[in-house]
Amino acid sequence: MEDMLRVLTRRSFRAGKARNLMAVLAIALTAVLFTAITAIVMGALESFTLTMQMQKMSRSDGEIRYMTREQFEELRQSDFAKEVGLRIPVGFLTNGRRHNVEFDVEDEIQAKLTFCMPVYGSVPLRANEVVASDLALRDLGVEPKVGAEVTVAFTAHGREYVLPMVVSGWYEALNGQMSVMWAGTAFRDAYPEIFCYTFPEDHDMTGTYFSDFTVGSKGHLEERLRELVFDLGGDPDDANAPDYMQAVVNTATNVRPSPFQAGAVVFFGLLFMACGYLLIFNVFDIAVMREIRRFGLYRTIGMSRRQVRGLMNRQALWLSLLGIPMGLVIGFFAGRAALPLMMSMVATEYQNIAADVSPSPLLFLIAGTLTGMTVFASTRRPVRIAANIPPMEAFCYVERGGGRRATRKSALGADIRRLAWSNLGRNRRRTAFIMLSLMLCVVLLNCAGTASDSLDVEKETAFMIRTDFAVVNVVSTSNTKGFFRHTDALRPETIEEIAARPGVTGGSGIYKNTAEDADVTYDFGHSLTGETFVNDDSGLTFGFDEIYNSYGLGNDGRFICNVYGMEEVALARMDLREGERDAHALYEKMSKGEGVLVGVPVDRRDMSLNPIMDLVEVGERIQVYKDGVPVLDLPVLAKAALSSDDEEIGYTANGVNEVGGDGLFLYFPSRVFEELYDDPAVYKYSFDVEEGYEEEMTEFLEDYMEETDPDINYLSARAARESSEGTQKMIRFVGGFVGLIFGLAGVLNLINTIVTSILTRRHEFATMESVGMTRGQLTKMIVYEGVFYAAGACLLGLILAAVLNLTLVKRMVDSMWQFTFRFTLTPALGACGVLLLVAAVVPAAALGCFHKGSIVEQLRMAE
Amino acid sequence: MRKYGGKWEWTAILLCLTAFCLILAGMLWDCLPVPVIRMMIPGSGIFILLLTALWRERQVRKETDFANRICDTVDALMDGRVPPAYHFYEDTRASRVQGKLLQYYDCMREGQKQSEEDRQNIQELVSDISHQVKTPVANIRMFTDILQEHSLSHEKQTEFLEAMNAQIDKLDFLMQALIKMSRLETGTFALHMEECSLYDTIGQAVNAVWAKAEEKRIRMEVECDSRVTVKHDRKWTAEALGNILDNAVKYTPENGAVGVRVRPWHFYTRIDISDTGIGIAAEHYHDVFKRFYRAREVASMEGVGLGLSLARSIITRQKGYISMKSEVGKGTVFSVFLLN
Amino acid sequence: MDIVRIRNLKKYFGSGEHRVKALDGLSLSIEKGRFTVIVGASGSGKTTLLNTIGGLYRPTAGEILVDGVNLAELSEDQLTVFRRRRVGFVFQDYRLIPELTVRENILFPLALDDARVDEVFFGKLAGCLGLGGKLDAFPYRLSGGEQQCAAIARALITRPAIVLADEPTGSLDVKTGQNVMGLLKMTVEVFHQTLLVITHDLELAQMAESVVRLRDGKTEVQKCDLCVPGV
Repeated sequence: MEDMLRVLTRRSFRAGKARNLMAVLAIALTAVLFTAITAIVMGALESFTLTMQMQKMSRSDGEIRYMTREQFEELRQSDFAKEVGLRIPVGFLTNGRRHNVEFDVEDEIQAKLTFCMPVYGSVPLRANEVVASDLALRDLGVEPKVGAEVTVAFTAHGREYVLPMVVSGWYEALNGQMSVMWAGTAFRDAYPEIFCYTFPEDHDMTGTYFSDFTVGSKGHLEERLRELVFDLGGDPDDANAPDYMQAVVNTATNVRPSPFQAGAVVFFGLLFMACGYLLIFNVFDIAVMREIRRFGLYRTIGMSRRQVRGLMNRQALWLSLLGIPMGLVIGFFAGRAALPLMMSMVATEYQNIAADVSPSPLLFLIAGTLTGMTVFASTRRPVRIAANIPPMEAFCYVERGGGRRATRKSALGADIRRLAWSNLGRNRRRTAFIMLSLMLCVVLLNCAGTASDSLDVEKETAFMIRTDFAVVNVVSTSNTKGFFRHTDALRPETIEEIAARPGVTGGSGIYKNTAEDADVTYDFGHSLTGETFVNDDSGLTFGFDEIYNSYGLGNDGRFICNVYGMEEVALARMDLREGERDAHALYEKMSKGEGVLVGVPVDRRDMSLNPIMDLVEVGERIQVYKDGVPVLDLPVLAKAALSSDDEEIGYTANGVNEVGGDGLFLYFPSRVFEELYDDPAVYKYSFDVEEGYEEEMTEFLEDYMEETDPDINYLSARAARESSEGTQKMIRFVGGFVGLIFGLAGVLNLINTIVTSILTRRHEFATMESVGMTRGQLTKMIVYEGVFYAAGACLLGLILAAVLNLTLVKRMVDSMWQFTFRFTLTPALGACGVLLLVAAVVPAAALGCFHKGSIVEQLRMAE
Repeated sequence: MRKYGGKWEWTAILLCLTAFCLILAGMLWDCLPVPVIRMMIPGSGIFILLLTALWRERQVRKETDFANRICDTVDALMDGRVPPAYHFYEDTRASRVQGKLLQYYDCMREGQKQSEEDRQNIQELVSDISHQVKTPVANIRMFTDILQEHSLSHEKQTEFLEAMNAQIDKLDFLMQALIKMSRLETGTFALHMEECSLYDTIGQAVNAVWAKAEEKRIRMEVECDSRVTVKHDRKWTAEALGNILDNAVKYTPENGAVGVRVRPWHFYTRIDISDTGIGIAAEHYHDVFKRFYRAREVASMEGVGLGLSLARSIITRQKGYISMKSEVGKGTVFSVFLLN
Repeated sequence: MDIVRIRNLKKYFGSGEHRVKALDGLSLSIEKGRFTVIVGASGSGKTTLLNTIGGLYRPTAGEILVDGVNLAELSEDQLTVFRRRRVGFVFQDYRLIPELTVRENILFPLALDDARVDEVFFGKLAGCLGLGGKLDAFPYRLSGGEQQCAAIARALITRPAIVLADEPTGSLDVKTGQNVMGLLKMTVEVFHQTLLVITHDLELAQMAESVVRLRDGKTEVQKCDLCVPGV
């Protein structure tokens, strides 16, 4: 007989379609929120990880190097790793030009783990077959094609080899600098002499076995890895030991989210939970109020409180079973759609970013659980009300009017409005909930609007690039490399070709000293602590001062500094702050060798000269040495505030860090620079274009990169602006999304409340109509009610938005240099307008839908 | 016996589970790398065993509790003690059975009480009869005495004998009525319920009072569709309706009217018998159906006050009922409801 | 034996100056197996009395024993079970559950108790109330009288100690009202139940075996007239 309750649940479920639709929508919306945020978080993590893995060119959990074949087999047999890849390095190809091609023997597992499985063609099986990247093949002068013949040259164990090979498959390179060409194990078996194991004697890695591997469980990976190396008979610590075996954990795969990210996730989770709570609670609360007589009847006939609770819980469960999967699916796609937008902010800084999220069960599990928890939490109170209502009181239940009834007389015309106003107070809690969610919508939208408005696109763009275009070598834009060698210079042909284009104005090649120009040094009376270190990349020695600023030191131990040479047009664009402020006069003087311009990096928050980096005053003298011999003695003529463009390009600063470090930034006219340095290297070519030529120039540069010189890269003012606008868009999107969700929740609540109010007050309305209220007046009253909700929420929202704008948002915005605080209430006003409109339309429409027919019919229906 | 068998089943399940766990552990011993997981197989087996054992224990205890509670209640009821009632209003199975037991106990006691009441009823009836019979018998004895002791003229003798005859008639009428009454009361007669025309039944009843009505020049109006059929006992129903009609005619002054109207309803067929008689005050609505009740205003009229009582008995026995509505001085409407 | 015994029952609503004395020192006893009618002007506390007997209200003061239980001693949950098993309610507005068929409505109180249906009893009850052919229909397909019959069947299905009917004919026309009242009375008699009815219809009131008249929350007359003893 227990199934009678089930029958009852099922039938009343079917009967209350509109109400259930509301509840399902509410639950689905909550599920959408949770799924979307979970999808975005997981997708972002996944994408970051994949991006990092691609940069590292491995998605393994770790790598073990310098094993013997036996040790490798032992590793393969052990239950430590899940997948074990095989890699026997042979060496870098010697017949390539720019692209570095590493030649290895690998197996399929290794290829999969290191992103070099052939996309076209197949894996190498025969001894003369190889797989390589498109860039590697082009570099070797072969078109990437299956079956193409390619000659590889390399040195192994001191012997040079030149072998003709056949391309069995190829893939697209992850980056322009380096890629792997690999042969199968058949190659190893065909040339045993290449792979003889001599590591203990000469530390030659050719012939040793490397392995990228993945593991099942990632706990204590580092310790376990060390243990494993010991077990295999290797020494993980001493790099000079004959049995040295290097074992590293891949940090790209095993990342830990920062506390800030975790905090943000928790914050949004809680926010959405609150939103879901507001919505679901209201829906259930209203459903219970509408059905209160029914519960009274159940209780009268003898249904116990436990049974009522069971009935309600079962109903909630059913609704959840409908709503949650729906929300999960919608939320997943919403999240997946939103992911690229979210990633676009970081996408400008990471190339090749892969923004995708897979429909993993974990995602749905997390989102489903969170939604379930929210539903459970928000139904507790309505369920309790339904179960505990005294049976008889349920039948005379009327929502009570506000406690204080004003007895003041009012003008006749305002009567309807007053009636509507007093109706608001019928259920304080519900009124508060609706207003709260509508208000939050307004406030959040406004905060997001203010933040995005305050993002100073021009300021940021100007800081990134002063001209319309700047062309550099591709390494200069890399975050991991940077401009510090003569080979990183821009080729003169490129500059000539660009300068020859129509519309180019104010072009100037900009020289920059490199690590190879250590013969020219400067002395500006700054003392160091004597502590030094050697930079692995540039090979320069660096010294420190008391505050741990680091300075690149030249051959004679003096400062190498960051030195630039440029045309007058370029100098004229710089922001001269102290000393000679006239660019032309300054250039003239400098050209005559009468002084130098010193650049000082700015404190980005207020764009003032950064005192930490401000090492010399105008008028002080700087001695220039070449090969340890003083050649010049120049006074500081002026000081300029440096933008990122003056130092390098965009936000990169690697080259600077590799060469001069925190040393002075010195600016010379091109001619002086050419005289001073033996082999001046052009760092970048920056130029403006005439109006209307931007498109053409962009196209030309893209083509040029594609066809002629893949080694250049460029930044345009437009791209910089777009990147900045991307951030702006992101803020707008996130804020707008959250605001919209709350708005939606509020509007749903509003619709639900209004419809319920119309349905439950049918009798009241019919009575009013029977005593002479016209339909128009009735509509007016209901519309007023809706508008009062919205107006209240808007008013509170506007006040709170203004307050938050001037406090919280202002402080957050002021702490970031890209922002210039701009007070605005436009988004809030816009939202208010929409809300007011909705609040006016919904009641009128609802009245039309649910309050039809004659007065008599109405009176009867209300029974 | 069942319990014993249960124990065996229980042991079998235990053994099966243990065996299964052991086999599983044996099979997977080498496949599972982590010793913790390996140990978890037998571990979980033991956990399940413990859980089942606990569950079983609880189940047995619950069953015992249940039996004890029921037995306690039965013991109490057998001793004639009624256990405190709030025990029966728990939302548990035991309390449900206890409640039912109590209900059964009440039902039995009710039956006892009923038969006692029946006995009392018959006693009352007997005393009523003896009371009513007393007067005619006394009269007859008086007349007999006179006739025996005094030598009277022939006319006088005839006069007394006629008077005596009237008393014997009355006695006979009384006896008839009382016999009917007593048979109805004690339920020793059978009703022959059959679906037949109500028209005929009413005709029979009306015929019995026709002459009397003629005598008082009372109009008789019968409004009845001849197609109406009701499931009823014709003889007894005619008797009941006749009694009501007799009553109506009796208390309606000359030149009045008596009407019979039949209306078939959904569940009941309603027969209204209206008169333009003296009427009955509202506070006596209930009294008129009492045995031997006679209103003070009609004390002078002949009658013994059994007719309506008899009619109500007859109708109630047929699962119908009688209600009435009256206005003093204007008339009365008796409504007889016969179940379709 | 008295199924209901009330001594000095008081039931007040509200508090302070808004206090309404619905029942004010009422004493009453109702015999088992009787058909009793409560009459009285509106506001005389009829419904309050009925609901208090049915365990829907808790008395403010006084003693109320129903079927030997002092209702004041029962907890809220025990009261619920008491209503479920020992009281049958019939309301003016039927109060059937619209989503359940007539059969399910009638069996609902049993379902709440997880109890099995006594099919014989159910068949007899349904037959008596003329619901035989309507058992699988939904309430809205039935006429008012039939709905009320279903409600009566629901009240009787648990073989309660007492059936409480609050104006059971109030929303029916006179004819149907007579019908339903007759059926109610008959069914209750057939199943040996105690019936307590509130009505303001004097014509219907005479079907009762005893009448209680209330005025201002007090018993004015308690008249017990046994017209015809039970069969």
